[in-house]
Amino acid sequence: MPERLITLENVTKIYGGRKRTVKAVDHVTFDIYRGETLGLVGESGCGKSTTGNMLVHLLNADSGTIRFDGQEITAMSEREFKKLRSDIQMIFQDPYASLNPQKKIGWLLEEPLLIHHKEMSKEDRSRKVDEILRVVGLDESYRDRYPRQLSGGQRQRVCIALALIVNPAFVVADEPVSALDVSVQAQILNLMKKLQRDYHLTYLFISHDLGVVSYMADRIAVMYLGNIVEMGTEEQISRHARHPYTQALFSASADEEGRERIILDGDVPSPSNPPSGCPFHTRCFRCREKCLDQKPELCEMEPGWKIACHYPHEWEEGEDSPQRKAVEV
Amino acid sequence: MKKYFSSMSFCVGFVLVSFMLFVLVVSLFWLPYDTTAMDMSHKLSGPFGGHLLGTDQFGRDILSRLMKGVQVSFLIGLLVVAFGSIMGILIGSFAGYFGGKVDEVIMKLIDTQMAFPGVLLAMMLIAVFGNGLFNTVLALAIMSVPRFARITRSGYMKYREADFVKAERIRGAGSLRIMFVHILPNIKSEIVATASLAFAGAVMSEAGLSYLGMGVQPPDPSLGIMLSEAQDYILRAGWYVLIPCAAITILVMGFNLVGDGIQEINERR
Ligand SMILES: Nc1ncnc2c1ncn2[C@@H]1O[C@H](COP(=O)(O)OP(=O)(O)OP(=O)(O)O)[C@@H](O)[C@H]1O
Ligand code: SF4
Ligand SMILES: [Mg+2]
Repeated sequence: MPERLITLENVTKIYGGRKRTVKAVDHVTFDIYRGETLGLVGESGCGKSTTGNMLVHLLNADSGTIRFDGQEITAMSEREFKKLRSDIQMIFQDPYASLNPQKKIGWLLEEPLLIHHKEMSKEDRSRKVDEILRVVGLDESYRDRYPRQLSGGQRQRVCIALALIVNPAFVVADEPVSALDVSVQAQILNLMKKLQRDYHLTYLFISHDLGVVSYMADRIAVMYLGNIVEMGTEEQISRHARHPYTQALFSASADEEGRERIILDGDVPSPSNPPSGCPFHTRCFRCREKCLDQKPELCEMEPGWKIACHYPHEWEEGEDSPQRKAVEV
Repeated sequence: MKKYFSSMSFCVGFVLVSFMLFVLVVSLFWLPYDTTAMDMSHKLSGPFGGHLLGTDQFGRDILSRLMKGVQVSFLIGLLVVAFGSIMGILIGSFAGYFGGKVDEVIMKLIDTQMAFPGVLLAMMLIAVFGNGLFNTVLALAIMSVPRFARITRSGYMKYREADFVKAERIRGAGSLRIMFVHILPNIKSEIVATASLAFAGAVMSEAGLSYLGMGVQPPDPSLGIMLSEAQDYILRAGWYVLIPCAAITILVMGFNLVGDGIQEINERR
């Protein structure tokens, strides 16, 4: 049994003031095992970044518990959380916005050492900076450059170096390659994979690019309107998805494999006014009466494979469902 | 720095300010005459005689007094900007970074102060604390706090949710480090522009207060005092009035143009 590094239990985050509230994350429960990459996918606005931000303690959950390595971090103040700061790091989507434009790369890399390892000597810090630059595929010459003098891919390498220089156990990568050229994406993904092996890292890999997630993740969680709707191994989710939303998502990227494409009609409902019952019912091609007012729980169908749908067995692979045909016309 | 020279205002302002700085530097090492030495036999003599810019009603050398007056203006401008900016930056930083109730209260106070005519406020402060150089500086500095606080606050509001600030929090940087090591350098050009405008304002207000007899006290020269003394002789010695006027104009316009130029380029970015 793999060891749980992160556990979320009924974690909820509600944004907003008195008038309009947005339930960005709605009673989300899942685990992340030590050493794995958990992919988190879903359309824009479904609450992926919010989940990631709660894990790195940028946001506080409104209810539920988040544990890191057995310690509950949900209710920790910033002061109490400080000792875990170096264990939990994050890589952002936009490498142009996530580096302070006024500071040189060398200065930026040295700063976390100053914060977390006050005892380190200047020479040790300097050596460590050079070492980490080489680890991410750059070299010492980058120390004296400003972020604006680097390409997107190089900046993202610096961001990775910044995350790794404090020896974290867990890294949240929020769309780390979405802002990069396709040619650079693969390099960064491979670097992340290599570093995961070398430093025994655990990743939460957030993306809306299913190809990228399938490549990176050991397991995938699918989010819709703040809810986890399906979760399983990469193989289960990308090839044998049971939840209608997952099927629709992955059918879009799987044309070449001869699977039919499911086109969802309608837009994502507003998270400030979510549908009753199953959150997906407004767009679901399998929707029945029960779905309108009863919200399906996330249930384990097979070990490690969880689905939040009242009718997960309706459509098995290869079988044609009348509802699906209807949607396609 | 180089990019600012693409602004016409900045270039003109830069030349004017450089000229006054030159006068200032020279005055620190050399003055043609003693600024308070009277020579009753050469009262109100015209320029280009023994005295390059002539003499005043007591026969004192106008050029020397002007140079000394420029010193006083720079000193006051510098002190006002230093005090005003430190206070304003501190207030604006906390208000802008933390937001919420503290911010609301601070901004209300600042709006109230801004609605108050500046010179009137300075006069009230001087009436309470008495006049003299230090109190003039204090009064003008307090007057300039709001503009620094506002520009700093809006800069912090822009950056406090920036990705690099979030990234710093995740790396364990404390609030003070984020505020003053990370955000502040990113808004320095806005602050420099404000400082330049505040400098011009301080020079102008000092001249005004001294003219009214509430700033620097005679016999010390200051551009405002020279102006007020000269006005009695405006018909007999027109150049005498023009000289301090020109100095005030060059200083104020120079710093205003520099400030405007920097703002212009900042906005273009
Ligand atoms: N600070 C905020 N205040 C109010 N609402 C917010 C805030 N941040 C996010 N939201 C809302 O919460 C919901 C979830 O946002 P989140 O950023 O987590 O989505 P996401 O899945 O990361 O989307 P994307 O793929 O576009 O990054 C969205 O509806 C968003 O509008
Ligand atoms: S519960 Fe109903 S509406 Fe929701 S996904 Fe399943 S079939 Fe569709
Ligand atoms: Mg996001």
